[in-house]
Amino acid sequence: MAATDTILTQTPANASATAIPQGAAKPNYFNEGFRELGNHHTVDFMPFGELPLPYIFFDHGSLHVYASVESLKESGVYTTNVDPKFDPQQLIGTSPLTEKGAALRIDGKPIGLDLSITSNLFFLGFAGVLLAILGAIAASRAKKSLIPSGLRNLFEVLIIFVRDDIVAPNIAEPYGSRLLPYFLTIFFFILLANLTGLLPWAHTPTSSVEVTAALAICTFVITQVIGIWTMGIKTFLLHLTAGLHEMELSIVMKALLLAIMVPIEFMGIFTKPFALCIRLFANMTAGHIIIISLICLALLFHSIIIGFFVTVPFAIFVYLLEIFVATLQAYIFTILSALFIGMMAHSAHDEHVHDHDLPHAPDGDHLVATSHG
Amino acid sequence: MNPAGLAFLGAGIGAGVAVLGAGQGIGKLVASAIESQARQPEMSGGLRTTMIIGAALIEGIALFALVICIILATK
Repeated sequence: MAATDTILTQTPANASATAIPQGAAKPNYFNEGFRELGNHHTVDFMPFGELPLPYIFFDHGSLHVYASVESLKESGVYTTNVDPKFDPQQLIGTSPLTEKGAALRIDGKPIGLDLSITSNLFFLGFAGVLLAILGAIAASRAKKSLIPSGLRNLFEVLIIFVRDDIVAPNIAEPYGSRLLPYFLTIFFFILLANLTGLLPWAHTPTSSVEVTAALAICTFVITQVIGIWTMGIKTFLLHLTAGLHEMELSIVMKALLLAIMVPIEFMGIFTKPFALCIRLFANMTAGHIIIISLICLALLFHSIIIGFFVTVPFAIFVYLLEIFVATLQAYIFTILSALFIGMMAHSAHDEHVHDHDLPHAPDGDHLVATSHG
Repeated sequence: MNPAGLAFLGAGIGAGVAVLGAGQGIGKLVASAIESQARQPEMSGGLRTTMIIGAALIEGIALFALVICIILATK
């Protein structure tokens, strides 16, 4: 492949040299830049050194903990796939978006259970702790006085926005207020996780597909549980026929249609959370890729003019756009989750099944259809 | 022509075509939303929400295509 060929012919010496000798292959700045987007085992504070994150494995029945790459390699059992010093020979065969410094066993066997704290996990925790602290401060201010101000005001505006504009129009009432804490949690968590990635030295946790998949799985589980809870398992399964079981059709026609409709409806259950997952991941990754490409452009041309007139203004523009996208994607994830969950709760109300199971079920015309703003 | 070159070509053309389709879709969506908002300004709140959801769904499809292109280009 062309991309890996350039790395193959490149030696570590001329990778660090500023002037590239004539005839030698140029280093692949783009691949090295994109590699920074992947999951790491260190947190890089560029001029001030870096913070190693621990490697933790549950392998062959025992727990192994190594504080850093050095102690991992001293163990004699494990090694890493990519050297932290970017030895170009070792980059071959790994995609730029894969984990940097992932552990391998020297004997080639797979590692049992990898529980390592990577930069993803580190910054997810950072966002979570930050959210807890900010939330606690806002809540403590609410106890002191009734008049909202500052941080508490900001929280109140966002919470009321989620309640009135996201949850209330989409989810029928007993479930709306019961599920409100979930929507508030994912909204604030995704918002802070997205914005964390815009801080200097930080890594965006939501720009890796594992994190967004975990978030989408939460929505998926709640959707299905609400569906089964409100409709009962029989109606829930009949839901998959898209109403065909009630239509008056000949047996042959019905069988043919069912053979098409049931797989499609069944796939539809899984494509919705899959789209949620990919949308958040791709949106958060795309902006970073553009910024890294712009920086690589200046490196590629070895030109101050391009750096000054192209990289700096466009990178700042994309960065500002990313602040907007980070907020928008938190909103989109929350409102689409609310839509998918609301569709399940609504269809139960439309069919008036198992209403007696619900202690506080309101009438059918109680379906909250108020539009705000 | 070597297969890697073809993969890069495919990724480039694919990204272009995906963006073309998404641009068409979002353009049409926003155009009709603005038209409706001009006719009935009192509905603009609900229309904006529906428009953003529609745009997000269209964008999601475009991003599926772009993810495939990125996989092709970084193989």
